[in-house]
Amino acid sequence: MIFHIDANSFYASCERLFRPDLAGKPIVVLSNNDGIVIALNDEAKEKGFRRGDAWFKIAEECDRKGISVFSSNYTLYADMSARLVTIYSRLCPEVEIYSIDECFLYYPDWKCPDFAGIGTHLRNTVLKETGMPVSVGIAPTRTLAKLCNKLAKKRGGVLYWGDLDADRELGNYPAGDVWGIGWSKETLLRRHGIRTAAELRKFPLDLAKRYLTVNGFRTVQELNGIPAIDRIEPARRQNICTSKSFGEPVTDLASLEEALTEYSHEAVSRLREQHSAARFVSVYLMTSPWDEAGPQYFNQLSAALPSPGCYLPDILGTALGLLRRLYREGYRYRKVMVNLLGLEEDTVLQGDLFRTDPARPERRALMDCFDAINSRYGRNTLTLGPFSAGNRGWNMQRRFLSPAYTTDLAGIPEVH
Amino acid sequence: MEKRQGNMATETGFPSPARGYEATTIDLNSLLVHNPPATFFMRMQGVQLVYRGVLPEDLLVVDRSRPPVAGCLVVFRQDGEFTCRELVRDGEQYAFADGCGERVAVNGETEIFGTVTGVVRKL
Repeated sequence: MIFHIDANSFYASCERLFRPDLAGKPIVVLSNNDGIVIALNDEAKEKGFRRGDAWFKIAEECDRKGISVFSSNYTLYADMSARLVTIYSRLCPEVEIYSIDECFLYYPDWKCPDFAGIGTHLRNTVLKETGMPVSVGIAPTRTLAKLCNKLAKKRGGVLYWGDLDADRELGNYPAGDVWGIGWSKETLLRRHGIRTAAELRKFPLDLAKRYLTVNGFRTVQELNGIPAIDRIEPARRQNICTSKSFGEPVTDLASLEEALTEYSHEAVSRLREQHSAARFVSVYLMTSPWDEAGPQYFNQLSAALPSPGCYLPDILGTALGLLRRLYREGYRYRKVMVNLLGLEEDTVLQGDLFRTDPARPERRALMDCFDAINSRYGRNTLTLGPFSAGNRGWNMQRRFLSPAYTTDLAGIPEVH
Repeated sequence: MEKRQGNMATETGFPSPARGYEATTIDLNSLLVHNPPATFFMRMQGVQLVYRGVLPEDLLVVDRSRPPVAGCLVVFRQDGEFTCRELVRDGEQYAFADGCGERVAVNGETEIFGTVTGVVRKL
């Protein structure tokens, strides 16, 4: 059974958690460089703001309406996200991170299971331990689980497909809101007289393949309860996560380091394939929730790279450093996982540079970029080594940045 | 042929008898943090909990997964601020108490952030 878990207004929830004065108040979060609104809570939506609003257009209105505005604080969001994943991993045998605020969880198809009860337990545990509200959609396929989750947001937060009247729910659900059906496919479907998810479900498979490509074909199958999407590959992923469960429990650090090295290589190669740079590295280390032979341990650590990068030694070094801090003796580890977060397009690097020796051209590109920036913006705009420590976030406008409440001693909340 | 990281010194001569018995450094996290995803750090500002040994500027280890019981120090939201007090029983009800005899009743609106499980102070 597939659980889709999604944090509600994730960025805004992170900001609100450490600001007791903002309970019930409208919050908007701006993109990098304070460009546009990328996240907002329900209270802000009620005031008429939308995702994508340009900041310069709404700045005055926000001020007038008393909206709290934040620059995106990915240090905070990455840490909160990793906390959620750590909890999911404690409660579920198989977790797939889909984005910074969404995960798919896989539970075995037991006989007579109380899936809604498991969903409620997940939701309550996460809320209690992290203060983050999440909603849970439970269904036999990913597409239906996502759909259930959307419905769940308005109905108490947890919804199991098996408890619903499928025909009625799909009949009320617009086809364009189904996962994988974008705006262009929606227009195309309308020409075939398909407006609701119920009609899309009955769309003949051969036509689906012809008109909607293989992805649409899979969507139709998934609406019929047939799992058809096994690996999620969006055009450009928002995070890259690699992990594998060990066949046998692993107890020593050296083996964990070897495994993590392999996963880091894979993660970085995927990162470079899509010409992205990562801002954060998270490492997870966990025992098996089903292993009764020893004590349990689930933990994660995240680190921000000094700058977004796809340079393997940097990412691997960071990941191994995190692992060494996570490792405790005396546990039977089941899984080590590396997650690259805060991905952005790496515009400097070109694809064909990688066909030859991977390290040299990349360093060359790095130095090209380094020199170009320094000649354009003046010497010491970019520097190497400790000198640059105080210079982080050098080219980003983040006028409304909140402190790193959970990861920096200088930023922790005050208590009276 | 297996090659490790270049910064490992080559071992010559007899192996150290302490091999395999190297101590790891003492890690305060293992002492103070029991459930990492539910643990947050906060900074005490007020003097109201001096009688409980909590001084201004102390670092509070706050565990959201530890259920608050009477006698615990808890962090809760009050008047738009985080406040730390001792949770006490007041007959049938609970209240937050500071060391100066002040009590705030716990009502339905009160939102407890977490239970303080440790205090860290640098001298």
